[in-house]
Amino acid sequence: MEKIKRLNNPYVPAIIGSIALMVLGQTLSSGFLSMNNISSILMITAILTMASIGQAAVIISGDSGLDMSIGAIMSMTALFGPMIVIGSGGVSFAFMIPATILMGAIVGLLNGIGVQILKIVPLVMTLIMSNVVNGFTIFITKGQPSVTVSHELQSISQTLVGPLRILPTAVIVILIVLEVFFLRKSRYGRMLFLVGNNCNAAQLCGISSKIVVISAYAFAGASAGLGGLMLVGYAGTAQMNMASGYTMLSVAAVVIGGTKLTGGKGTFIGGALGSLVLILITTILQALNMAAGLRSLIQGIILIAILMANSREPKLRQ
Amino acid sequence: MNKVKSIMSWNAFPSLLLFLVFLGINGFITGGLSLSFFKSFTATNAAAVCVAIGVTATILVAGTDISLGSIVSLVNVVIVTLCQKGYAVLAAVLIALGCALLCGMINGFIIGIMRVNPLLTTFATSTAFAGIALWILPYPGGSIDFSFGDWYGSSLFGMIPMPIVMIGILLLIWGIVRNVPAGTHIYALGRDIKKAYASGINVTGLRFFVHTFAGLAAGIAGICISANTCAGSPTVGSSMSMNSIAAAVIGGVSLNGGTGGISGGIFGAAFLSILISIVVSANLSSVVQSLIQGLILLVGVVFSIIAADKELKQKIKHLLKARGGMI
Repeated sequence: MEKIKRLNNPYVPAIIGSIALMVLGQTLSSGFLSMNNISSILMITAILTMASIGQAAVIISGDSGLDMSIGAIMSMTALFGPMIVIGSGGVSFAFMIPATILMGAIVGLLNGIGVQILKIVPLVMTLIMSNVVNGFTIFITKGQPSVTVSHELQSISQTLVGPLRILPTAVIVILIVLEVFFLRKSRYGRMLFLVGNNCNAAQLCGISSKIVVISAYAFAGASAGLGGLMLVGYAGTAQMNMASGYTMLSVAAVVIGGTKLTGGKGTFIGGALGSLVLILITTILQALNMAAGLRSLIQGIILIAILMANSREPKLRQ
Repeated sequence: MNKVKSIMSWNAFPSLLLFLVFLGINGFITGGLSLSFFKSFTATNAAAVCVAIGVTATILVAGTDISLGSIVSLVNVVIVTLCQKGYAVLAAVLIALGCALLCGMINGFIIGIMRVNPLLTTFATSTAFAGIALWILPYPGGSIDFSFGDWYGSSLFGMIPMPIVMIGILLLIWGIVRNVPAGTHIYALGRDIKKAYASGINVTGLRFFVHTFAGLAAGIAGICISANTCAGSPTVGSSMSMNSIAAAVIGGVSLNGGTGGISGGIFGAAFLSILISIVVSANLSSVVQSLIQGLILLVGVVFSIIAADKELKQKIKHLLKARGGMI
C-alpha cells in the first residue's frame, strides 16, 4: 500500500506515457530506439524543456498566470542571437548567451509589469506582447531574416559529451540545478510557491507578491530567450516565427508533467518529462510518414486523451 | 444626465469609443467615409465579429475557446471541397455548418462533462480540427461558384446587407437565451461556479450549450469568410482565435467570467478590424505594420482595462474633486 501511495506522484503518468510511446515507436518502425534517433529526440526535448521551465515558473506564480509570448520570444532570440558578432566566433558565442537571456528577460519583465501593475489578465497581456514582439522582429529584420549561424553555435548540437550531445547534457544540468537550488531550496522559490498558493497570505507575511510574480515572468522570458538560441543552433537556419508552436506545447508539457494550471504547485522536471512525451508523439507520427494534416489530427486526439486521463477537475459536489 | 452616466459606465463603452475614434481616423486618412467602404468593411470583417461573439459567450462562463479559428478554417475547407465535388452550394454550406456545430459539441462535451480545463481542451481540439482541415485540403486552392459571393454581397429585402444578417442570426439566438432563465444562469456561473452549482444551476449543460453556440458562431464566420473570398485555405482562420480573445477583452468582457456582454465582443472586434484597415491604408511600409498594430492593441487593452477599473475611476474622481475645490 505504501508503495502504491509513493507511486502516486505527479511524474508517473508522464513516465509511463513516455515508456509506452518508446515501445510503440520501436514496434512501429524498427530503429526508432537507435542512438541516433534518441539523441535527436533528446535534442528537441531539451529545447522544449527550456520553454517549459519558464512556463512552469509563471504557472506556479498563480492567479491564472500563463505566458503566451514564449514562442515569440524564442523566435526573436533565434533571429537576433546569431547577429551578435564580436571578435572571433568563440567570443561572440560567449556573448550570445547572456545577450539572448537579457533580451528574453526584458520582454518577460514587460509582461510582468503589464500583468501586475496594469492588471491585464496574463493570457491577454502575453498574447498581445507576442504580437508586439513579432512585429518588432519584422521591423528589425525588415522581414528578410538573413542569419548565418556561426560554427560555434552549431557545435552545441554536434559535439559529443559521453554518449549524449552537448545540448541535452547542458539542459539536463541546468534543469536539475534550477529545480533543486532555485525552485526547491532558494528563498525566492519558496516565496514563489507561497504567492502562487495564496497571494493574500504571502502579502501578509511581508512578501512583496508583485515583485515575486514580475520576476517569475522575467525568468520565463529569460529561459525562453536561451531556448531560442538553442533552437537556432540546432536548426542551423532561422526563420520568422520559427518557434511559434512552442507556446502551447510548453503549456501542454507543463500540464502533462503534473502541474496544475491554478498555480502554487509544480516542478520543472515534470515539464521536462511532459516535453519528452510530446516530442515522442511528434517523432513517432513523423516516422510513420503521414500527411501533415493527419499527423496534427492524431496529435490533437492523443493530447485530448492525455488531458482527459490526467487533468480532470474534481467534481463540483465535493 | 443619468442616461449619459449609464452609457459611460457600460462595459462596452470604451471599445465603442475606440471604434468610433478610429473610424474617424480612417475617414480622415482615406478622405471621407463612403457607403461602399462600410459595405466592404462589414463584408470583410463579419467573420471576425462572429468569432468574437462566440468567444465572448465562452468567456462569460469563465471559460475560453481558442479552437474557433481552426473551426473557421475547417468550415471553409469543407464548403470548398464539397462544391468542387459537385454539391449544391446550399447543401455544402449546411453540411459545413453541421460540422462546426459538431466541433462545438465536442468541445462542450470535453469541457462540460469531462471537466477538463477549457484552455487546454480547446488547444488540443484546435490542433485536431486544424489537422482535419489540412488533411482535407493540404494546399490553398479551389473555388466556390461566384453566385455565392454575389449572394453575400446582396441585401435582404434590399435593405440589410447579408453580413449584417449573418451576425443578426447569432444575436437573435443570444437574445432569446438571455431572455430565458438560462441567460441569467450563464452570468451566475461565470461569477462563482460553486455558488451557481449550489443554487441548482445545470453547470454541465450550460457549459455544453455555450461551447456549442461558439461552434455555431465559428461556423457562420466560416460561411462569411468563404463567401467573401470564394476560395479555400486550410489556415484562413488561424489568427482569428487569439485576436477574438483580445477583442473580447477590449470590449470589457472580464476573463474571470460573469462581466460584460456580447456587444463588447462585437465592438472590440470592430475596433480590431478598423485598426488593421487603418494600418494597411495609412501607407506605412509593411515592415512596421505589425509592430504598430501590436502597440495600438496594447494601448487599447490598457485603456479599456483602466476604464473598467472602478477603484481607479474613484481615485480620478477624488482628484478631480480636490482640484475643483481648490479652484
